[in-house]
Amino acid sequence: MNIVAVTACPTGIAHTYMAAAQLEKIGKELGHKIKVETQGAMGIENELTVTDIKNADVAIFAVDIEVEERQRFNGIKIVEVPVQLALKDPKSIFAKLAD
Amino acid sequence: MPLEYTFICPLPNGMHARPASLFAEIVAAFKSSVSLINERTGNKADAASVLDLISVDIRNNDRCRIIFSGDDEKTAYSSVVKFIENVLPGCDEPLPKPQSQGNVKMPRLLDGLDVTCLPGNIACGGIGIGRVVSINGFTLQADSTETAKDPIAERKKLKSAINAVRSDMESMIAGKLSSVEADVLRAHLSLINDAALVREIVGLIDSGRTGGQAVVNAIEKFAEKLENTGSEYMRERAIDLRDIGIQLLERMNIGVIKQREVVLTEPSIVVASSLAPRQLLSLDRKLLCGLILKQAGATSHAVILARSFGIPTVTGIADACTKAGEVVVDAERGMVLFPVSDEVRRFYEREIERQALRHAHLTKFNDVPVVTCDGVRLEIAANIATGSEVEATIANGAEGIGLFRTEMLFSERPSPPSEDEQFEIYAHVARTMGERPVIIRTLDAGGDKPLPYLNQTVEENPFLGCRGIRLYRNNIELITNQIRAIVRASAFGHVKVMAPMVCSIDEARWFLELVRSVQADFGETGVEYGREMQIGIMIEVPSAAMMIDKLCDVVDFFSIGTNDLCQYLLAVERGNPKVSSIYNERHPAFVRLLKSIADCARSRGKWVGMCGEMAGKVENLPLLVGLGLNEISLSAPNIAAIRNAVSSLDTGRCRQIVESAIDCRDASEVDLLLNEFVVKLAGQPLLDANLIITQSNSRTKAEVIKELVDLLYVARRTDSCDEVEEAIWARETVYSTGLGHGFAIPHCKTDNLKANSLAVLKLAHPIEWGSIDDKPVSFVILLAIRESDRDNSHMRIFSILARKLMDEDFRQLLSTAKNSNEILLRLSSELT
Repeated sequence: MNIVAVTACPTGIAHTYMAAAQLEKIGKELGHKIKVETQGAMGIENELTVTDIKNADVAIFAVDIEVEERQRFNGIKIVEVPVQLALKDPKSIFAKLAD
Repeated sequence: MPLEYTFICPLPNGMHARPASLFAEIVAAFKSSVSLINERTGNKADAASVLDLISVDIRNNDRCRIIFSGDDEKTAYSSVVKFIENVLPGCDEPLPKPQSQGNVKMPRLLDGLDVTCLPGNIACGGIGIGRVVSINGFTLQADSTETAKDPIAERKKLKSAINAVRSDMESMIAGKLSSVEADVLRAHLSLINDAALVREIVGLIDSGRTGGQAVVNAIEKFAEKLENTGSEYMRERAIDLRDIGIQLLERMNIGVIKQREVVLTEPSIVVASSLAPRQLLSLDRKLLCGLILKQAGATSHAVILARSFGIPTVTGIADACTKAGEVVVDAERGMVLFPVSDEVRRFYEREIERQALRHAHLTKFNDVPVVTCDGVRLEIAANIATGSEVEATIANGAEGIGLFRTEMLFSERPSPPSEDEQFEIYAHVARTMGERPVIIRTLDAGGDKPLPYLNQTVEENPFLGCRGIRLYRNNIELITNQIRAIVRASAFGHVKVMAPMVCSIDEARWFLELVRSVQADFGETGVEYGREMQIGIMIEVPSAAMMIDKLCDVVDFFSIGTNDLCQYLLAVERGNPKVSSIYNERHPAFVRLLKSIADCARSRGKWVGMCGEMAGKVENLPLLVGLGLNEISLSAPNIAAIRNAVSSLDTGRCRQIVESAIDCRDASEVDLLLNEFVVKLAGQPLLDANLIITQSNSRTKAEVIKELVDLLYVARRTDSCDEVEEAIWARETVYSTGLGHGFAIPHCKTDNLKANSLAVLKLAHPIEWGSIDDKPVSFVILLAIRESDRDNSHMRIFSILARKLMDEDFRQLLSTAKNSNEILLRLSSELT
């Protein structure tokens, strides 16, 4: 699948980046194409473009706070989970995408 | 036929000593007996006795009946009624309210323990644990075995003692300057003139007691009555009364003096209503672990001394702790705790250790001259008030004495110290400091510091009256003696002398000539003195500040006394609570004045120091460095921190701050400027070996977090441990930062940090952290970042670290590192 994802945690110091690392790693292992945008203490990084989103089959939000510029994702299927799940059991997130 | 009059007490604070003494004064003018009955309690008082009046505890709105009977009862009646209707309602004065105490938060590790915690104000930081020794809460005791031989002789002794104490107090009143203080003293004086008290003492003598026993019994009787009124204010009057008792006994040559001298025998916390400087100096400082003062402003002498000795001191705490046995004075958080259970002791012993570590970390470089990071020299000197403080200032890293305020040598004694006595003290300081400069300020009396033997008159406005150098012409012998002592001491070290309160060229020249003539006298008689001794003046009057260019032609150096200079510039008396909030050393007008002084003196090659309180605050340092001062002088315990901070400042950047400050509109704009200008610790890396612990014995998550924050504290990366801890916990309560695999990364974003930091801790025994895999944690990394940090470079490193921690090989690499250096090396090579 072609996946876009956003990670964001309360302080934006650690979990945002840990979750991004996990999603990228496991996504690739499972044979997906995945791009992860981080919304942390340094602001938005690895920003998802309109094209990225248009070409994606699904979006993963691994977030504990509001996603910034959420309207970009209008019209695309979104799977939203707590950041923690990306650390604890990332595979289960990808399992949800097929539902 | 007795006359009666009933009234309702109109005084919100009740019938305290001041209205009562006025009342009794009116009544005493008549022969009739005038008694007052408080109908709320049914208690009856002789209205001619202040003590009786206050001990019937008349509160606001109490209904009172007065009965007049005697020959002149009609005139007594009309005078008293006139007084009650016209004067009494205006007699009220709000009692000093307990200072507003912030919400003291218990350290997290002590939360939930059964501890009493009394909040107070911090007068001098630090932590002390010791047994309570109460100084003021004494009761008098008489030798009951003694027997009276001759009541007439005893009465005579009593009478002369009363007269002597009365004249002592009268001379104090003559020396006191504000009308409020004089009124309070007069109320005290009325206690000793009190009809009921004297009647009681005489009655006891006549019934066969010795004078001493009679005084003790009578005083105790009334003191207990006052204490039993249940009013805080009356309890304080009981202390006054007992103090009068002691003065009487001393005057009657009854050996109570020893009772007043407290001898410490174990680590002690001294609790006092207030403390005279001499009382404080008489205590063994090796055993004095802390001070709890009920009343004491930040500029009281006891507090000034406590600061210079570094004694942890909390003020504004009521009597509740006097019976506590052992207590902790936590003058870091501003509170007193008891009982000292094992948990409390363990916690505070670690706190004390951590403070010692922080201090050791700071004083490593004590012998290296202080320079800014771009190499500009700034001398860091100490303020002292007695000769005995000088050793401690060296231990604290002082590069000199910037202000030896000599008033203490002159205060609380009937006559001034002799030239020889002063010489011994000045020479001791000079010898001890060796090469380092010692600036001795000649006597600065007047204003708030009257002395009984000075030719002084009562003044309406003492701060604008005869103080400092203005007193010298009328007390020429006294000041000449002091200068002789200083000039003699100049043979033993690097002594400089300066005069206070100079406001004109004329005064400066007069002082200079006085010193020169003393030197000339010694020259003729062959007495050794330092030929190079510099003569300077304090700059604390705006007129002197404005004439600095002309003063440069007269004197050798200047020291800016910011407390007075700022008071006079802003026309604000710091001690007056109605206006003290206007007092602000960061007022742009004041910064402008400082800059003009410093610029002018520098352009003429004159040395300028600063010795006011402004110099002691690390937050002001960018301004002080930017002004280009030669020296700043502060109380010894702050020196280490200031030394450290100077070396991290760049003078160019600080000059810009001063330029911006003089362009500000008010002090709050200057505050913003300085807040933004973080005292960044130069070249401070995110992580160093001091921030790594490889064998921690912490037993809980809370202890681990505290231990990590303490590392930051010891390394001076934060001054506010509790706040940083709370920020970490605030994040932790959202959900645990235990990321599984035995790792946890607590983190926080807060401006209570001075530098972004990584701290690492490896546990000897894994502990529970609430991790996502429910496994215990043995490796903890703290990520702490300043909230207002605009530079993302440190945050980038954190984000790289966070990503890497998801990698098992990386975790393996960290957990197999054998020591702190290995952890440091592995982390830095992976992260950069």
